[in-house]
Amino acid sequence: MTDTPRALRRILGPGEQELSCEECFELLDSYVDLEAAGVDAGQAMPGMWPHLLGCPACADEHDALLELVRDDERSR
Amino acid sequence: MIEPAALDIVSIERAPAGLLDDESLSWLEALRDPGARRDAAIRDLHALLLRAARFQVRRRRHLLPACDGAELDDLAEHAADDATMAVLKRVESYEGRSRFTTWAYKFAIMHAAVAVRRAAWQHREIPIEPADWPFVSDNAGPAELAEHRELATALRSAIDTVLTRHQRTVLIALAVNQVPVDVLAERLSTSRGAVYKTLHDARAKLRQELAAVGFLPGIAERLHD
Repeated sequence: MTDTPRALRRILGPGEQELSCEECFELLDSYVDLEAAGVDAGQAMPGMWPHLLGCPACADEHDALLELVRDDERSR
Repeated sequence: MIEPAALDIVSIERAPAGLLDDESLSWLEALRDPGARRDAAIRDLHALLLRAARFQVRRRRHLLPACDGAELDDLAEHAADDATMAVLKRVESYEGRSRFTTWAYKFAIMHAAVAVRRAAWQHREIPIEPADWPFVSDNAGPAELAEHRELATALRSAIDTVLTRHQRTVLIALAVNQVPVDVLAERLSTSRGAVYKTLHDARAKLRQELAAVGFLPGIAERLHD
């Protein structure tokens, strides 16, 4: 079944100012640590969340890093 | 792309060494040690990054159904090797904005993610024409269906008329056929960032064109549902 909003989002992107892939990688660890600490990471780094909405590869790496850091937090 | 000057990163500015958490400080001291302590730290770093690489390979193993456990572990080992080299090369640029382990993990995650995506596409051609135009929901009501069809027609027209050939190729491959950005970048002999910039510019042109013919911002608001 086709999910029209998702398909359109992939084509039209987030429509907001966003980071580049290089900027995203540069800031990803800081962003994830803020998220893991419960801080509003989007407020601290505008442009990151729109990029993650628009770039599936960066979003996947973000999700993996956040999962891994949260795993670490639980085992500390 | 956003201008770096516009980024509000005050809260993540480089942490003074005295404010680093004990674990991060310990990693840095060990990796900067001129003696045997550094060798042990490098072995520990590789083990840490192998764990992260295996974590990512396991998350995405459904992309490689033909690979057995040994092949997947080989991918993770290579990713951990590459990530260890990358971390050692950049360790002096670590600014303490995050835990050292989070900073190091991101290299392993990225190398493992790229390795899995490339392996999944290694024997596949990159589709540069749409296999399907996925704009019309099967479960939409009559009014919504008519609106989707109208939008689909406008969007396809915009793709064919306002984009350059390169922008169209990149948009169709990435956004319609869902080719991973780094796989496309490798085939085009360019960088992931350059390919994404092309996609970003193409999206901006399409939004501008759809706005000009009256579809945005109404549709755009619903894209955030």
